[in-house]
Amino acid sequence: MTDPYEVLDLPTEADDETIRRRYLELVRQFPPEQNPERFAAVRTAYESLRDLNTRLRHQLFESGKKDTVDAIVEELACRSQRRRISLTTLLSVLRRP
Amino acid sequence: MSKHSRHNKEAPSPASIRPRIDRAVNEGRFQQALELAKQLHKYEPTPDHLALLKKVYLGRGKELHDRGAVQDAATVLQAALRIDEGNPAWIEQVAVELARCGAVQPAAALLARLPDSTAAQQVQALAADAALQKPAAGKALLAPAMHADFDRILLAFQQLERGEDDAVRATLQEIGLRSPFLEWKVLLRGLQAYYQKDDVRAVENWQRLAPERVPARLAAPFRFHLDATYRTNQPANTQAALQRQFDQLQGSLALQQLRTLRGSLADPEQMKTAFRQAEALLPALRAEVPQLVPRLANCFYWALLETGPDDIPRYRHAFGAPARDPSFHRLEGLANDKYGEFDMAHKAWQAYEKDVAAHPELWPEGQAQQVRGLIWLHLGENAAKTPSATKLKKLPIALRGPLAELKPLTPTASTCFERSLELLPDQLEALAALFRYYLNDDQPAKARKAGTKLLDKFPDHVPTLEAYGRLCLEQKDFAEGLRILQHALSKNPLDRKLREEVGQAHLFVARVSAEKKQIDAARPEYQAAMGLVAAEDHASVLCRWAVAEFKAGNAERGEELLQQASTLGPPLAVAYFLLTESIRLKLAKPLKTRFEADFKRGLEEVPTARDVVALVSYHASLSRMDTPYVGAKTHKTKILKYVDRAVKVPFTATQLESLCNALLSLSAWKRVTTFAKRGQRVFPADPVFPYLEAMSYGGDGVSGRSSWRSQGLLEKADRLLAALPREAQREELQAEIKRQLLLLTALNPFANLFGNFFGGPLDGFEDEFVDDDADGW
Repeated sequence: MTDPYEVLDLPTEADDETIRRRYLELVRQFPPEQNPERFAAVRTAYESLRDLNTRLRHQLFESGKKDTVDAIVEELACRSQRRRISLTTLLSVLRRP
Repeated sequence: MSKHSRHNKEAPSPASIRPRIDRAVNEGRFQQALELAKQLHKYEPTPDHLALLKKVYLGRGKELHDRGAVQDAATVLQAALRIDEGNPAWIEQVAVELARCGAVQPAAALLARLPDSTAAQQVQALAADAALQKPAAGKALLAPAMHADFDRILLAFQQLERGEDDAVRATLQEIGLRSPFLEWKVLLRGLQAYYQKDDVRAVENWQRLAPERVPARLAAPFRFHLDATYRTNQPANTQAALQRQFDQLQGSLALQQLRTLRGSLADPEQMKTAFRQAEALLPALRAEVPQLVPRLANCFYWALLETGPDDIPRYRHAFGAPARDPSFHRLEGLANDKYGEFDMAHKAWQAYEKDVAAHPELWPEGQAQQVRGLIWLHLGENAAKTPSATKLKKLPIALRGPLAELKPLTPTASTCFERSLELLPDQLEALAALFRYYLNDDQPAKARKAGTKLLDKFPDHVPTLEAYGRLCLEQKDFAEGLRILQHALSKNPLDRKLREEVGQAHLFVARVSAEKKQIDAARPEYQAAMGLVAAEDHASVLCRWAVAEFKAGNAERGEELLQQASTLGPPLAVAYFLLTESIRLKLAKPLKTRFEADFKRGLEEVPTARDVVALVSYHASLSRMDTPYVGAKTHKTKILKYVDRAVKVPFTATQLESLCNALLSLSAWKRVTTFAKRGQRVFPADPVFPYLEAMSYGGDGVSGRSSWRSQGLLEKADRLLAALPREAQREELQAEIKRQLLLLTALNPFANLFGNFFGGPLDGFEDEFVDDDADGW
């Protein structure tokens, strides 16, 4: 997950104040000494969204660049409903070559 | 020869059969292995051969079972029983395998012969597995005591499917720890956790399952999906099978299609297929998770950068035109930026800026203008990457040729930045970019104007304050330079380099006053400089101050300061400071003669490292600051001769580095080569010396010679730098090495070819040059 909005879990229309608040919240949740990688990702994401200027720059030159089909597959798998299945269905898949 | 006798002649010997059995077993050909093992046991019924025959029988049984031929497997196992029917251990083993194949009743009958058998529990568990694999008829396979738990498991599965989680919990509660259905209970608990999205608990449950049992196999596709360690530990074909099973059980149609598309999109040759797959996938994706559609479109949009404009119609067909790039001009700009085609990028970005201006409604209110300003800023940044016609004329000849092919872009960088500022007058980035551009393009007057404009709006912008202050000093506007640099220092008081620069600015201002014999104005400046420059430069400041006092007619104070300077600095350097300053301030002849005599006497002495470094560094600083004085050329010759006598003098690494840097700025190339080579011999791990030797062959393309030598040395310096511990890393040096390597590649695209051809940079050449050097030049 490398899109800054995804990292901060914010909608694309979030304003300066919302972004800053969310950033501080995540920094408290993932302090650098305990979660260095997550902290770095949050920090980088915040840097590219911190004000309107950086956000517009991001939209112009970076937006969507780091998205991957892998990330979409992962997200789709997470969002997909977990279907409750019968024992017969479960066994039928096991028997199929 | 009869057919019969030929057969006898070719009958295999027991010794030759054994390896054939082993080979067949290893290759998974159990049927053949079984025939051979039977033959071997028939010829020589030894215990070893019996054990081998049993092993092969069990293997054949498993092979058939794995293929799903459970009846055949049971038949083979029943035949196997007969080869050692009186052996209880063998009876137990066959019973377990029969149970595994679903032959529950024959297995139970066998175990009935052995009342104390420990395999009973295992057979019961396998019987449970076999029964549950036939939910409708399985119960009949089981002993009546197992019926209740069998029913509970079936009920729990039904409750789970209906989402009656509390009922499932209550049903499973009845199944005890010693029940043959315990594994099924654990499987169900895992499934329940999975449906409740408690993935950790689901995996915890499934990790407890015995891998050879049916519940573990049923949990495998789910565990594969959730447990990364489990996933990566599976062989590739198992991974593929489990993924397929998971997709069949849980995966959405869109997910399966997306996985297929992923492979195609990764291969630029498969772009057409990827678009076709995307079109097939989009209806399902829109229906299932519509918010993922723009993200998929993004992946394709950026992939177009690799594949080119031919795929744009396909993109448009699949996803429609991007809302904010309907004509794909932005895409074209990004692609040309990526491949360094700045003239094409320039056109594309200008077209995109027009698109934004024509459709401001596509952006939230007021943002279109800001976007246009940012596009013009980007255009300026691209244009600044190619040298302007003015700059090109000032470049060294060696660089002019290759760079001349890069035509300056139209509109020029300055026009683009100005345009950006028209749209966004308070944009710091555009103001700073314009200032930086004029500085780099050697247009000091325009740079000052742009800098003033920036500092009016952002008076505390330290990088601009520093650059602007230096520019003022270069233009001999010392008072303004000092004022600006002092302001920068007030914002960043711990910056050592900046402190030194402010100290130097005080000295410039002091000299202006000293030249006018305004010693009262000069004194506080000298005093301030003493508080700012490094301790090793105190002698030089005191010498200048002393000369200023002599100039003002305060000989006594001058002598005092001179005395102080002599205690701080190396004698020859002090004499040189005094001599140059007395010439520059036009002191009376007797004083000049006195200092000249001291200087001459000092030059005749045996050179010391401290004197050499101080003398050359000071001369280089005068030369760098473009401070000419009568006799400077003669002094340079004398100083360099003095340096030549210091070839064998012991230097510290810092002294050698300072000496080489000073010699570099005096363009004393051969001497730099000598001392840099010496640095490499004495301090082999220090990356600065190969770098300095490389520079002695013409850094920045100045001398335009021996770039093949520089290439290897710079690479060596880079390697040494990378090997240094983290705390000893020198970022500036690293950046400079990278810059020089890039420059060399631009100047000489064949440099690598030569390096590789000769088996590595400077192979053998280094020693040759070291030997030459020992004789001096």
